[in-house]
Amino acid sequence: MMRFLAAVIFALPWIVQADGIVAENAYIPVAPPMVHSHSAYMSLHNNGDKVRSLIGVAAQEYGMAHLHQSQVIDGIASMSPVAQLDIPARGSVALAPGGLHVMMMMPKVAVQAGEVVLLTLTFADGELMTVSALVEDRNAGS
Amino acid sequence: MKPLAYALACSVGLSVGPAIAQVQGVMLDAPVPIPAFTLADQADQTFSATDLADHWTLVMFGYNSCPDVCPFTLGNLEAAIAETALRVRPDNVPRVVFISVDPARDADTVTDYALFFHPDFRGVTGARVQIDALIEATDSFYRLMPPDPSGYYEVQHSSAVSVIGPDGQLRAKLQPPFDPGATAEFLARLQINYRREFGQ
Ligand SMILES: [Cu+2]
Repeated sequence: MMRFLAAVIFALPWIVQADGIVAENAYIPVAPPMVHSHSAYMSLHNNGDKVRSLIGVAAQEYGMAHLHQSQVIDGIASMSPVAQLDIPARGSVALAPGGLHVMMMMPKVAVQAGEVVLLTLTFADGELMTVSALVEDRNAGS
Repeated sequence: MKPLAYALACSVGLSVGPAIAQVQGVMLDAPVPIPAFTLADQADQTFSATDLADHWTLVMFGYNSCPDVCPFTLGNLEAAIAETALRVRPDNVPRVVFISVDPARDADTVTDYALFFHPDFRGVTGARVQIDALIEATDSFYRLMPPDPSGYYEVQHSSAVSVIGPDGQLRAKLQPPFDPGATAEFLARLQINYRREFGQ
């Protein structure tokens, strides 16, 4: 049933808009089947005149999700949690491989290419925004 | 859980020159021999120093449950290898080996993990001491982080990819972002320098 709902929502226009915030091209590169920690990426645009702060994320069908940042410091790759991600007024922030990502763990089902995962973004002003992230083949070229 | 296992990045004094932005790799002024080691894939097929002879090898350290950096790097390496194949003879196309520094979680799946990114990629792991020998020889680093409440632990690891020549010596390091075209260009140049060194 959940899968069916997700498919219906996915049929709606690809850009998701909350109050002044637009999420574009949200996707999840399909992971090898034995891997149970996945990443979602997207770009977030703020069309408003005030900075907006993303303070939480949830992913449907995953036990846990959080905002994370990969970074390379002195040649060592590591990840750290991001408590608050500010999207400047009239600006954008990109979640992209090797940097900011929605890290999703403990998938409750096998997540396969072509499916859609619903992400819920929570902003500091209390607004919630739902984003459909498409699970993409590695060669989809996002 | 075992105490944190790590190899200090400064444990081997490599003469690696300063990196400039967008440089895709650094050639070593003096090659570094790779010592004997024995790792294995999930089917117990060994991977050892003798498997490095007579062809180019790209060695990447990582762990399967790495959600962002490792798949990104392996995807880029796959593209870089395809680009390199356009520039060098078929027998000079490097072989990619993914070495998991997290054998406790990955020993049974590391080979399938690497194959997911390309049918020619090898995935191996092994005993801590064997991994550490290769980590040290390539001036690399990793560290298992303490587990979170769910039991998941992150593994910090070198982002660079080690380039080992047909002579079995460390010849260069590839660096993020592993732009496929620029990385292929770097590897082709490295091979030209290598042949010059051997007067071929
Ligand atoms: Cu992460």
